[in-house]
Amino acid sequence: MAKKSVIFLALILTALLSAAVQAQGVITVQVEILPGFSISAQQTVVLEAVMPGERVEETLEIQVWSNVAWDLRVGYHGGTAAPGKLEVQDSEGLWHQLGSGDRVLMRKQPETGAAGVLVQVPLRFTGGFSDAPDTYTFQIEFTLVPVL
Amino acid sequence: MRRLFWGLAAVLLVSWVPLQAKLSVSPVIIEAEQVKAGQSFAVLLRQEGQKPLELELSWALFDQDPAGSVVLLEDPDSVKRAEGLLAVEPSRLVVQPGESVEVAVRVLQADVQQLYAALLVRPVRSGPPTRLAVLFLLSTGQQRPRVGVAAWERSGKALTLTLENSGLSHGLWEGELLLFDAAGQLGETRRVQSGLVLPGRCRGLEVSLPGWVENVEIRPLQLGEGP
Repeated sequence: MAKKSVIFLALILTALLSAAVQAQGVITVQVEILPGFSISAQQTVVLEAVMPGERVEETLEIQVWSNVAWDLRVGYHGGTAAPGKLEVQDSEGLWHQLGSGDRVLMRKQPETGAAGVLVQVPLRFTGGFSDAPDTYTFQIEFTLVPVL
Repeated sequence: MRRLFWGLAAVLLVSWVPLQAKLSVSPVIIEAEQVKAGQSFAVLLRQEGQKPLELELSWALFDQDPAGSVVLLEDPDSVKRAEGLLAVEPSRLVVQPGESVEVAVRVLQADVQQLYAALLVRPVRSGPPTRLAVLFLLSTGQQRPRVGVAAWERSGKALTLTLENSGLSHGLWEGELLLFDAAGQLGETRRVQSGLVLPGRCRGLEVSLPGWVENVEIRPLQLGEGP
């Protein structure tokens, strides 16, 4: 009887020790993932030469990665506007002429996932008779803003 | 050639990096209460391009439009005000390919109740930048938001709520929509939440409703005004 009791206790101890060893092998890992985003874009777009009144179109590509909802805004950089008329098309297909201040190009876009999202931004430029013949360089910038 | 002579040639520089270069910023929203002068926050910058990338960091204030989107205020007065309240160190730096750099944002003055500022991260290269905005929503006290439903409108299957924050701090609205069918039976209770609403501002919240819904009851779930 005593022998059986010793064997029984030994089995219980073994089970407890085994559980303890397993418990020691479990590590709780805690990590906080912060809201963040990334962007990349092409460097230069050269539009075709245009006659006054003529319109040319080009599509820009911007890659966005984000784990939060985001807006994409566009405006002139440095306050120097283009000659003629420069318009961009928003995500709803509407054309907007760029002027003072920036405007929302894409609103409340969802998180992109690991692959990111390739945003295509159609833009068009119309030359005018009030612009002297020349080669003009102007700059627009895109601002990625988190959604509140 | 003749066409070129008479025409207007335009070159549009669109961005500063080839498509494969990638600039990352985190966190992009920094929210804190009971902020004190001297307190600092960290922002991490990382670039994954092929060449060193020079970055310029600048300040703007921000507001909110009726759709809830951020509107950057970059007029000289707003920039000066932001620069008087917050400082970033360094404000110009070079990040090597694959490198992560932490910049420190320090609160210079805490004599305002609320501060809504944006740190704009802009690469410095020939050609115009693409910018990343980091939003700071800082409160110096413990003011509370008071977000309520100012108006609502149902148009077909869409319910549009206009949420107004009459409190002294930013906050969001959370509530339940009780959806009733034509027989007056409660068919579904749907929990909805708005995004943040800045104090003194309104924003819309649109909810799609199932086709069987005849009546809707709006029930707020937090301190705020009901419909």
